[in-house]
Amino acid sequence: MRIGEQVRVVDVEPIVDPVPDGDFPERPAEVRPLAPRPTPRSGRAATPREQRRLRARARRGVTVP
Amino acid sequence: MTEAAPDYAAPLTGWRLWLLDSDDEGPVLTSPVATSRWPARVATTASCRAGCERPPGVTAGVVLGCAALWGRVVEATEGWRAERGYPLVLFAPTAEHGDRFDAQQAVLWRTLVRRPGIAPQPDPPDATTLRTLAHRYAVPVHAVPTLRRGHAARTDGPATVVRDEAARGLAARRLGDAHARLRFDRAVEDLLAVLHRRHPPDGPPPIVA
Repeated sequence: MRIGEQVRVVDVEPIVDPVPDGDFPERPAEVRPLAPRPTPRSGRAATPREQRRLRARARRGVTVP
Repeated sequence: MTEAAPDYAAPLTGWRLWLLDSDDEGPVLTSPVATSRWPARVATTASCRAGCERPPGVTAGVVLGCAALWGRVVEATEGWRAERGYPLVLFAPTAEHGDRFDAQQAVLWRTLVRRPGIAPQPDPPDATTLRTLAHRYAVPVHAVPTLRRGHAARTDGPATVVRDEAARGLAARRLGDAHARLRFDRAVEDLLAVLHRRHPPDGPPPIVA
C-alpha cells in the first residue's frame, strides 16, 4: 500500500498492551477490587482508655450505639 | 543503558480498513492489499510479504476501524506503517441497513480491494458474524450503514475524536475506569449518530460494550 513520502520514524512502547489478553469483552481487564476507604473510627480497636469508658458506661446502663 | 527512551508511551492510532475472512474459529480480519491476517488477541507483527501463504478467498465484507500502532512506526504523508498493530474498535456495514448496500459496497470494494483471487462481490456480514467477531477479538464492533461519499465531510470531526480517544483512554479503560469508558462510548455514539443521520445520538448499543 502506498503511504506517500516518509516523514519520520518514531519508537512507540505502550505502557499498557493494546492487545486485550486474557480478559473478555463483557468486562474490563482484571483488576483487584478497591478496598473500602478507611474512616477514622471504623474497623479500629478501642484504646484501653475507651474500653474503660465503655465498661463504665455499661455499668451505668448507658447504651452505646 | 544503551537503549534510547521511546518517543511515545501510548500507542498511535489510525483508521484503516480490513476485509472480513473466516476460518475454522470464525471471522478473521485480513488486509485488503496484502495476504496477511490480523490474529485475534495477538498483536499483528509486520513481516515481509514474500513467501506468504495466500489465505482463502472467502470474504464477508469490509470492516472499518481504529487500529493501535506501536513498535517502530513510520509516519508518511498519506498514512502510517507500524511494526505492531491491533484493532481497538470496529465498524462494519451490514445487510440490515437498507438496499443501498449492494451497489455502494461494490463501489467501495472495487476502489479499495485490489487483491486477486477473492470474491468480486462480498456478502455483507450479519449480526451473528459481528457478535462472533467482537468476542474473538475482544473489541467493540458496531454495525453501521454503508459508507457514502457524503459522509466524509460530516464524519471527519467525530471520527477524529474516536481515533484520539481510542488511544488516549486505552490504559484507563483497560484498568476499569468507568469515566474513560464513558468518554469513548460517547465519542463512538456521536460518530454513529452522524452515520445514522440521528441527532441527538440515540443509536443502538454496540455489540460489545
